[in-house]
Parts: sequence; C-alpha cells; structure tokens
Amino acid sequence: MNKLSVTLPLTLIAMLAGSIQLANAAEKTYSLPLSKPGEPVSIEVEVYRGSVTLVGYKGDTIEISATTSVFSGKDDDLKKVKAPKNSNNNPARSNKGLKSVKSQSTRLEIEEKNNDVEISSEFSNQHVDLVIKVPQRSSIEVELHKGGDISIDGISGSLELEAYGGMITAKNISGPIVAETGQTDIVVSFSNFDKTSPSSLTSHMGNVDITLAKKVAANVNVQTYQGEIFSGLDKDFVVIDEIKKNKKGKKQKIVLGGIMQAKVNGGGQALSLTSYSGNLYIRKAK
Amino acid sequence: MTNQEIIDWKIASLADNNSSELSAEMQSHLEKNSQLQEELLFIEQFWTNDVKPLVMPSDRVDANFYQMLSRAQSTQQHSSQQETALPLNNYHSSSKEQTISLMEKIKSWFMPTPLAQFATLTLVFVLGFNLNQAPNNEKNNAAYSGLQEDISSLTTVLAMSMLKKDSASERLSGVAYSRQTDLSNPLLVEQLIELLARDKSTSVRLAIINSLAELKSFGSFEQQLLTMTTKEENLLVQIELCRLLLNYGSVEIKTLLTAQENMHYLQPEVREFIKAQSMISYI
Repeated sequence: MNKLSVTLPLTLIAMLAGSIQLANAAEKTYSLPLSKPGEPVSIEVEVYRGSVTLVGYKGDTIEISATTSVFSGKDDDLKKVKAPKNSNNNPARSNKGLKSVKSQSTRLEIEEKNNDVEISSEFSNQHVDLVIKVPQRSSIEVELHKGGDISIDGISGSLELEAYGGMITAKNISGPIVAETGQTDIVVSFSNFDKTSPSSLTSHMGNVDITLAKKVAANVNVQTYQGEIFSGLDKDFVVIDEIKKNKKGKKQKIVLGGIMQAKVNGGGQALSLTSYSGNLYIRKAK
Repeated sequence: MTNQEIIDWKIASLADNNSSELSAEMQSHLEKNSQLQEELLFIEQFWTNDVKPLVMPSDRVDANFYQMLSRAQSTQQHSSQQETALPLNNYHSSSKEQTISLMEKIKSWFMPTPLAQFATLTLVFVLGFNLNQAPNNEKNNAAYSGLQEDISSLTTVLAMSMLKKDSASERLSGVAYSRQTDLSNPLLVEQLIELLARDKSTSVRLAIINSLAELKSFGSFEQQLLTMTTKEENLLVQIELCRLLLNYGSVEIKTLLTAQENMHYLQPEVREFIKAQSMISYI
C-alpha cells in the first residue's frame, strides 16, 4: 500500500472529525456542583434571546446544556446596534476587501455561591437554547427577553417566570408560581398545589390554560376583560362582590367586583388567572 | 402608656431602620411588663430574621407565635362559653325562683331522675359561675382585645417583612397578609403604595390594588393614586387603578379622573372600560 492510499483516508477522517468539531462548537455542556448538597437551591436565569428549559431531577448538581445559533430574523434592537449614530454623523466605514466574520461566540456566565446559582446570556445576535437539569426542590427565577419559550418540568420549588416574546409552559409542578407573558400563552399543569404561598398567572394578551390534578385544593380566581372563561371543574365560579353599601341620604350604592372564584376541593391558597384579552381555561386532570 | 403604643413604636423603628430611644415613660412601662419585652424581642427577631424558602423558623419564634395564637384562641373559646352560659343564667334565675329548699335539693340529688340531675348540675354550675362572673368579665374582654391587637400587630409585621422580599411569590404572600389586617397602620399602607409604583411583577401590583380596596378611605394617598393611574403604561394595572378610584375614590377624584385632560393620558382600552363602568346604576 503506497503512502497516498494511507494518507488520503486519514486526511478525510481528520477533515470529517474537524467538521464534526466545528458543528458541535455551538453546543456546550457544563456540570456545576453545589456548595451545599442537600440544602435549598436558588437558580436565576436571564437570557436575552433564546429559549430556556428546566427539568427537575433527583440529583444534586446543575447540568447545563447550551446550544447557540445565529439569529437570522429581524430585530429592531439589532438594527440600532448595526447602525449606530455618533455625534459627528460620520459615514459608515468601508468594508471593501474585507470578509464578514460570523460571530459564533456565546457569552454565558454561570455563577454559584452557597447554592445560589446565576446563569445569564447577554444581549447578542446569538440565539441561545438552554436546557438545564436542576434538583427538583430548586426555586427558579427565569427572565427571557426575546425568542423562544420557557419550559419547566418536574420542579417542586417556587417559580417566577417572565417571557416577553415566547410562551411559558410548566408541567408536574406544585408552585408557588408567578408567571407573566405579554402576548403569548401560559400553559401550566399542577400535579400538586403549594399551601403556603399564593400563585398568579398573568398574560396581557395571551391565553392562560391550567390543569389541576384531582387532589389539588385551591381558591381559583379568574379575571378577563375581553376574553372568555372555560371551566371543567365541578365547582361553579361565583362573582366576588365588593358590596359596600354607602348610605348617603336616601341613596345606596352597591359596587360589584370583576373577579370570579371557585373553591376547588374545599379551597386553599389563591391561584389567580388574569388576562386582558386572552381566554382562561381551567381543566381537571383525568 | 399602653402596650400597643410601644409595639407601634417598635414596628416604626424597624421599618425606618433606625434605633430611636425609648422615652422614659415607655422604658418604665416596658420594665414592668416582661411579657411585652418578650413580644418586642419576638417582633425584632422576626423582622431581622432572613427567612429563606424551605427553611423553617426557629423553635423559639415558632413557640412564641403559636403561644400567642393559642392564648387568643383559648380566650375566645372562654368568652364564647360565657356568652352561651349567660342565657341559661337568665332562664334559670326566673324559673328557679320557686323555692326549692336546700334539703329537698340534696334529697333529689340522692334520688336522681335524669331531668332533676341535669337541673341540679346546671344550677350549681350557674350559681358558682355567677359568683365569679362580674369581676372577671371585663378582665377577659380586655385580655381578648389585647390579644387581638397583638395578633394584628404581628400580622402587620409579617406583611411588611414579606413585602420586602426578592421573590414575587413572597411579596404576593405579604400582600395577602396585609389583607388580614385592617390596614390601619399607615406605614403598611405607605409600603404597599410604594411597591405598587415600582414592583416589576404585574401580579403583585394587581394584588396590591385589590388590597387597597379594603381601605375605608384613601386620604392623602388619593392624589398619588391618580397620578400613578395617568402615568401607568401597564394596561392591566391602569384598568385596575381606574376601577379602584371609580369604586372607592372620593367624588372629587372621580371627577378629576374622568376629566378630559386626564382621560387623554389613559389607554384607549381603559377609556372604553371607564365608559362601561359609568353604566353602573344607582339604586
């Protein structure tokens, strides 16, 4: 066998390996041990553009998988960055003879101190998809500015979620949960319901859709101004009236509130669902 | 000088984060009252204790809190027993004026029929109770009121503490606790309105607006609420602020809100909402 017949396959293999390496450069994984295993965990995630998925598991480390891709959509903020105005109004610099370098670097900061974990991805033209495995007992706070969705699965700690562009979905949780979206939906499935603190799901224009396990006991409060309310509960929703009878002379005034409530399984902590124009769906798990 | 005045001083000093000195009169009152000293210590510990989720309060804080609650509950039960006993007293004092000599009574006790035995037992109970009733009644009512005030103060402390937490669900809990007080503490109301102006969570802000509806009168905060309404950018919050002022505000503030120059600042959906609200009729 001559040298060429040996060298060529090896070169091809090396090139293939190199290309695989390049393709995988956009995905990185990290395993973060906790300072105090077994103790309460607090996780704060802030992503400018991308998606965030958090999955609860029985382990005691934080497993982070970050995948980046170039954002190719329109972005008003990005346009401003590309064409900054300076005080002298100088014309854009010439790029003749230069080639465009696609930035594939992702700045992801991860900090941990005494079981308080902070994960943040700054403003950039990269779309960052985070999949994070966390201890089930973790308390979570997520803020996602643009891009995709926030997804939560199997976490029993408190949840504070804000998504300005995408949906919020959460399943197998017990809360307390405080979630807010602008124009998109919030979909939550409760396997249990926390008895110590109230929960609230608010969407300005999107729908709010919840499913309650059979054993969940809660006071479900609903309020929508232009949407509809659909309920699969056995208990009816009744109006909570703030009836104040102010007798001034011969006049009486009765003030009616805008909130309706149903006590599920005898009632419990408050679970408030609010949307300006979206519909509210309250389902019972089978 | 009352215990409540000293507790109010303590809450105010903790809220303002200053360690102002007790007056001589307060100091003298406090020195004579070891129970009040324990209560102040409990309030201070609760306020400064950095409670994290899933961490239970210390045994001492727990014991103090539940001791006070159980005293309130037992006093309440004792009071309701007294109220139940009073009608029996009135009934028996009229029916038993027919003479039953002591001997016959003792005889019937030894020859009991069920009815006679019951009547005898009741008479003994009521007579013995009445002998001690009058002087203790006022004392028990005062103790009950005092404990109610203590619990209201503790709930206020709890609410104010929770409202400062970083987590939105804890702040929501703080708002829920504030609804259990009568919002008589101006520091609590001030804190709620401050949070309403700057909290980043729409859910918390909406809950605060619901809580403020419990106020008997907005007083000096009314103008502040109006200003907040006209400058508010969050649609849900602006609507609810309008509802609050329209339902519970003074006539002057409603006139100001619906005046042309202020309506101009409201979002179109809110203006439509106000038009719909104006259809609520007077009886």
